[in-house]
Amino acid sequence: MTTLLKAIKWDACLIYKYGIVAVAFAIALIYSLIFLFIDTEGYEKIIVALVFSDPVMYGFLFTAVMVLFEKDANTHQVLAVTPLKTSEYLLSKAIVFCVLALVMGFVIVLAAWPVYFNFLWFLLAVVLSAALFVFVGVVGVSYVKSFNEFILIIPLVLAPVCLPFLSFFYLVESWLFYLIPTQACLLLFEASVSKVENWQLIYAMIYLGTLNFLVYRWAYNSYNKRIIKTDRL
Amino acid sequence: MITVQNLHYCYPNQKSDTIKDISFTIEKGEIYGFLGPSGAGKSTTQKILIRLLSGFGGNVSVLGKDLKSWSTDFYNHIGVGFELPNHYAKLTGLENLQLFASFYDKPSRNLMELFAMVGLQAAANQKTEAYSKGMKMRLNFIRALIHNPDILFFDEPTSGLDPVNARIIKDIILDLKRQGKTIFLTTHNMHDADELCDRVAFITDGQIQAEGAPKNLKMKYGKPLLRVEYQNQGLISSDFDLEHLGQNNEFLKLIRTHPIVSMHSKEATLDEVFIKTTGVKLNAIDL
Repeated sequence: MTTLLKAIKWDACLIYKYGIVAVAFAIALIYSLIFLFIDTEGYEKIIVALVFSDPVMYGFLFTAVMVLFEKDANTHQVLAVTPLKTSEYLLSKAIVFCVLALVMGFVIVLAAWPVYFNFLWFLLAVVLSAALFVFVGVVGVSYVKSFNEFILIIPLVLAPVCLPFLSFFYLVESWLFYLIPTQACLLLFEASVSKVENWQLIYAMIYLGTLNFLVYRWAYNSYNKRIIKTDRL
Repeated sequence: MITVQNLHYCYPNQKSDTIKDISFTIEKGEIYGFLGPSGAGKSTTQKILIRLLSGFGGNVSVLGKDLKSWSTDFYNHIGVGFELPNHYAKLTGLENLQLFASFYDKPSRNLMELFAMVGLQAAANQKTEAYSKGMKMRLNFIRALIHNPDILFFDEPTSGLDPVNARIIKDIILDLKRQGKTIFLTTHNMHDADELCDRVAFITDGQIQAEGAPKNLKMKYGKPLLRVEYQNQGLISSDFDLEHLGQNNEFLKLIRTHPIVSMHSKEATLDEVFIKTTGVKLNAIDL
């Protein structure tokens, strides 16, 4: 088994032991119950908004919680003197939370049972969104010392992230929303339950792919410099 | 095993070097003590040796290979025991060791044997959040040994331990030396350093002020005297020069005519050597 697979196995074990899986299931269950008791026809946008909020939460909030637990326990210091590479540490977190988001998102979609559903667009939307917010979570948590400090920066991240919902729900129209990654995420999620213009899908994939790479590099440097305090490459 | 030549290091955004041109070598099977007050450069040196800091000047080679040319495979050859406990609280002690052991390319040692070595076998399946500080420190210690590395770095290995468990840890360190392991020991505990180390280096302000075998340092900085305590209407002590002691009539007469209570040579303690060589008083050291 490669080091990355071993890291994934242990991260999966840790999110279970920290209760993150239980919380994720509880959220998915609440959403699912809502959809089971209402007629979802014509409510595709609500489905998209709720399913999108899950990868964001798993990716950003839960990664931050997990890394903060590890910071408190000083385990990064020990991981840094094993053959586990920083890239493997980050990819392991991204993969575990992508899988969690995929499973929970799919549970919600099953409960909502939309008229049209494209699994490939759904898969792409979850993977690109969840991975991006995992890396944002690592960057965010590298600048704080405690969960209380982290709570203070949550609005700074989530407030701009939520702006494209104004356009999504036809409240405000502006091309500027296309600069915010949430716009790209919403378009991919929307493509899984309804028709979206091809140019929008191309924009979303290129934009999210590029951002994932850039924020991954940022997370890599932040993790090394600010969390394990090393200058090695 | 470890060769350091003209090592210097400056942290980013600092004007002067934290490590200032230090050199030392550590042979295979040797226990090398690195002693000094907080901020002297001990941790920085150790961070360089374990590849956490790479922007250093000078030459460092470990296991015959330039430190900068090692990949993450380096960590298969070294084990690090940190000063403070660092475990996943929600995992058991055994799961903690299994987690870290899984990342090494080498087969791990029998983990239950390691638990038994430090008297933790009954707690192996308890979550570490229920461990006392002493138990966590013992778990720290054995974690450094899980992949049977050639070189070990221990930072205050007996910190937070009761005398019995401290004795167990020190005996294991001496046993590791007998197995041919090379050990880099960072400590403030002069008694431990004196007992364990083949050689010690005293570092202050980023420079090594003195280096050598504890015995030699104590002789060098001590006085060649023998102090005799004897009874003569009360307890009295007298000092005699060790040189030509057998021909010292005053000494010979004393031991023939008075009940002797104790006799001790007056070599310096390692604490005294430290103070003399570094100019730093013990109460200024972060103990």
